[in-house]
Amino acid sequence: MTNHLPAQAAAPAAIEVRHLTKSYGPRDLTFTVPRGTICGFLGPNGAGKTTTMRILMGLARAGSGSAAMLGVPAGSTHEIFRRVAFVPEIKELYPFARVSEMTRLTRGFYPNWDHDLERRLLERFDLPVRQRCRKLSKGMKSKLALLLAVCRRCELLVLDEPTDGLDPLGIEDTLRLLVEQVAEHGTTVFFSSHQLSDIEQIADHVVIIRRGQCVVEGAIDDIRQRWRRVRCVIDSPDAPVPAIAANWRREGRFLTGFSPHDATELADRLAGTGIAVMDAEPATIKEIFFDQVRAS
Amino acid sequence: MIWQRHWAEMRMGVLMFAGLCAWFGASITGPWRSMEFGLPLPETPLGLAIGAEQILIWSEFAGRILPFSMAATVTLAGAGFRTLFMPIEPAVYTLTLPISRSRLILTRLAAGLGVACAVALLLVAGGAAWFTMRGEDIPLIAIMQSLALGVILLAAMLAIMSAVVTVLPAVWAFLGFMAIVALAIPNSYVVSAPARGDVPWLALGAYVVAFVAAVLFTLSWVRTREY
Repeated sequence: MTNHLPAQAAAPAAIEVRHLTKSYGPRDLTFTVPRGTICGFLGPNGAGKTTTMRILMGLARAGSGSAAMLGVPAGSTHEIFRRVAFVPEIKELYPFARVSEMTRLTRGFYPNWDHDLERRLLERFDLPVRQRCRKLSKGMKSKLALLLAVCRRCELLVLDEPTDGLDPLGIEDTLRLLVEQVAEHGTTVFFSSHQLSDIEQIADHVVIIRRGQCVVEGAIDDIRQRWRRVRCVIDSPDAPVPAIAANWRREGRFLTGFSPHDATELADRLAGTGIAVMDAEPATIKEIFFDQVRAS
Repeated sequence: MIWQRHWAEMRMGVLMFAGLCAWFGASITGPWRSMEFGLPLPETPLGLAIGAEQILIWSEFAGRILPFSMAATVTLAGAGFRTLFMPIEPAVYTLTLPISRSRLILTRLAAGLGVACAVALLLVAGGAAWFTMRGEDIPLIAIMQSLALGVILLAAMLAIMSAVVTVLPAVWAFLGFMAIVALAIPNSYVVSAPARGDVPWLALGAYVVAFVAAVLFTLSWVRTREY
């Protein structure tokens, strides 16, 4: 899935984060989310995903660095929320408002509100329109928050764990909905999740952060093509391991690990080190994630 | 749209306010000595002008402004972020709507004040109907003068309580009650001004300053706070 809006090719990136730092969360974090993509934002607990999103939304301030959405600096104007919709990690809405009221009051702020989509999603998500928000289950709150974000017809959807609390059917529905948004309207979707399967299923771009820093970023196809699960053999059991394989597991004369270089490049880099590549299989996003998160 | 948002937030407070108002209408009665300030009401300039019976009717209205203001302040306070009946979490949703924080605060205060004024007018109309049915004349101009002064007091009390509930967690809201009680002390003096025939400019000026200061404080707080 690449950019669906060729006319916007020269437009600023959907999200641009440069050297973003805060006392907690991001530390010199830099990444870019191209327009018209579904970008998965991955990282272990405490890596800084939610804080980064809150800074983007103007809900928290950066210590240094910059963050911008659609070319507009984060927190500089509330007008950006006509073009960007956000679903936070804690999906609490006005407790005494009914579902129908939440849609009605949100609709009033957005001239492009998609009434037909609202009707279809209320049905598809099986949301009880007469129910007050405080009585909704966690999953129902997630669905309502997603409906309120998607029906605005914004250019960018920023979603913090949108599938949190959903049953497998709800997750499937949500992921399909996000893909539809990109396919039909060119919406950019930037979402965090701990469900690696969600990311692998729908994302075409991924940003992995660890301890506030970006460790992997790019199109998923490129990453899959580049990253290899590698098995090597060392000439001598006492030979030193080069920096490129510092995080690989060593068992006797065998080294296993993951490399962001394809087989040829890897062989070139290992030339003269006494290490020979035995296998270099394509790695999955899940494997890359675990490898990067576990790396010290 | 923004008013619908405020209604969704205020609903529980409005219900409680309505309940309290019904109780005030029925239960709180004179003789309103708190409004005399050294001079018995029939001997004040207004009392001498309209007669003892009429000024006692005026005091039935003016005397209820203080408990009414306190009830409105506690139940309707809020700046769009949190109330005594709504937690802070939905503020994230509010802040990602295309509304500026200053507009959010000012319209929310206006919504609280508007509901209080509408209910006040209803109560006055109800009271007027009650006295009219009993064949009494109503000193409407003096009552409306006291109500107008009451609106200025209420605006200040609402702004201060709104700042308190926005800034402090609900468990510390008693500090807000203390501020309200402090503000309520001169309330009777101000709303009884028509009886004395003066205008308490100093007190009114202080209330206006308190209103502006509370709004500016709330605005600067919500601009610097992280959510």
